[in-house]
Amino acid sequence: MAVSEVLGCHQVSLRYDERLIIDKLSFHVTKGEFVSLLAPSGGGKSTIFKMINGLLEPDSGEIHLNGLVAPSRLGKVGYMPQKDLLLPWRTIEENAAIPLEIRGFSRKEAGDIVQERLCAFGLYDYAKAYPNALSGGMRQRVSLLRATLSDSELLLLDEPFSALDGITRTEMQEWLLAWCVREQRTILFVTHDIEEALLLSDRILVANNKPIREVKEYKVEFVKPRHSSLRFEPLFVHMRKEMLSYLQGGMADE
Amino acid sequence: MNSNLNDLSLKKKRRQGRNQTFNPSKHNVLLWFILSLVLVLLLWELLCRLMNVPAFLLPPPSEIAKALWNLRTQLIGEHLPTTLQEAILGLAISIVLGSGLAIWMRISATVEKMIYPYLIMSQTIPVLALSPVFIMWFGYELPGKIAIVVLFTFFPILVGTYDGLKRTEQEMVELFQTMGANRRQIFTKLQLPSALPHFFSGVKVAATFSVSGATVGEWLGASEGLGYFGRRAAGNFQAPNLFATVVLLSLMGIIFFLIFRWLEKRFVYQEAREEKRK
Repeated sequence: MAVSEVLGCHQVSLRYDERLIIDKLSFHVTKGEFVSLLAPSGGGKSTIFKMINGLLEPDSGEIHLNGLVAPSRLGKVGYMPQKDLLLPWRTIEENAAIPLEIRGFSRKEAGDIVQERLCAFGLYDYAKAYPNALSGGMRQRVSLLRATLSDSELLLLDEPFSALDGITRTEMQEWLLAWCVREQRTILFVTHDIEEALLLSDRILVANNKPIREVKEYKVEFVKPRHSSLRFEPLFVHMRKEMLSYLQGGMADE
Repeated sequence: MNSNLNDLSLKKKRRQGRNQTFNPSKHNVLLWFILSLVLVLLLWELLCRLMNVPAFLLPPPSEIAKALWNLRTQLIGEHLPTTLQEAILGLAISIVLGSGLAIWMRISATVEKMIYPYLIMSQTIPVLALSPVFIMWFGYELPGKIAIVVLFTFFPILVGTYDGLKRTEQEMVELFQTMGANRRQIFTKLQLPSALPHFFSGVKVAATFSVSGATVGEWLGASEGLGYFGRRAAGNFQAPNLFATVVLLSLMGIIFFLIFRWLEKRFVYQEAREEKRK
């Protein structure tokens, strides 16, 4: 297992603004896996991501990337923030090319690489458009495309669909499901939506306490490719109830 | 043209975008302005004639136009180039120094702490009162005038650029950091372009101030220039001549402003630009 481990957190603790957010937390993500981290809102989920991508350093414990201790992680993890954060003065293809430009590719080379990928993200016709011409769902796809162009196996997705309306959200979830089957990337996904986590993940880590001390692991074994109608299956509903009561149980302890 | 038909919200957005670019009301604005200008001038002319206002107090527009025509070689051939030169040179120096200092303040925290109080103070000091000091230091020749134009235009540019550089969203900076960007890359790819609109707001204000600066410089002592000519005309109660210089000076300010607005439209990201593709 150690060989194919892409991300490993070992006994990690983190204080942020004088507050203990994470207390000796351990978990790992294996190559090709889609793992969701499910925690109630305001539970420091985004802070965990800032720690994994290197913006914050844990106070104790170790973070491993591809099996090795990684003291500096900036530039080594593909990060898709909650807001799309597209630059309004750059076209879609220019926005997607930013990580490549930072990695040292010339504008021309970066443009060529982006061109090849636009199709897979349903953005081919909008390469020369500016972000304000795109719908929320499409902007998130540009943001994901940008994240995939960083030089890393691991992608961190921080509640990417939380700002979208219901229908667009379902469309984007289905699109992401199909994309994952094609691309086989390793994804750590943060959400507070149980249904979304169940629909997308191979494994769900549920945290129900503050600070986050331990996570309860749920394996999600629905066959892929999945469809959003899965959410009406009895097993799906059952798991959803179970996870909800686990989440609520933890909150009641406080 | 639109192959991705399932994305309805996108189509809607693009339609809105098109309405923004094709804007028939823009022509109406200009039309109404011309109409109101003609009305104001007519009223002014009528008022002067009907009430027999002495020309040395308020000359009618026709007198001003006559003065402009009669003095055209002197005004446009001799005095205008002088003032234009002072304003342009002063403004250019301010753009270089102002944006340069703003960038330096963003790069070095020490410089920022040292300069920032002056930035606040500069908003309260009447630059007009400082102008004679500058003439004392830099003399009655061209350098003195340029110094006063710099005095008038430096702070709007500094404040605009500094504000713009400061306003880059922290989330954006962090995103760039997670991509492994160094400080130089964050600066050139993120902070500089996002400061550009604020830089241009500052420059547009400064562009109109530069004309005032040049005029004040000439009032304080000169042998040519529109400010000098206007002041001499005022001293001799030649109101039509004075008004003629005022007309030229304000035209100069407007043209400066329009030039920088054009440059802004050219170089700063515009909402409507997306329609240019295809």
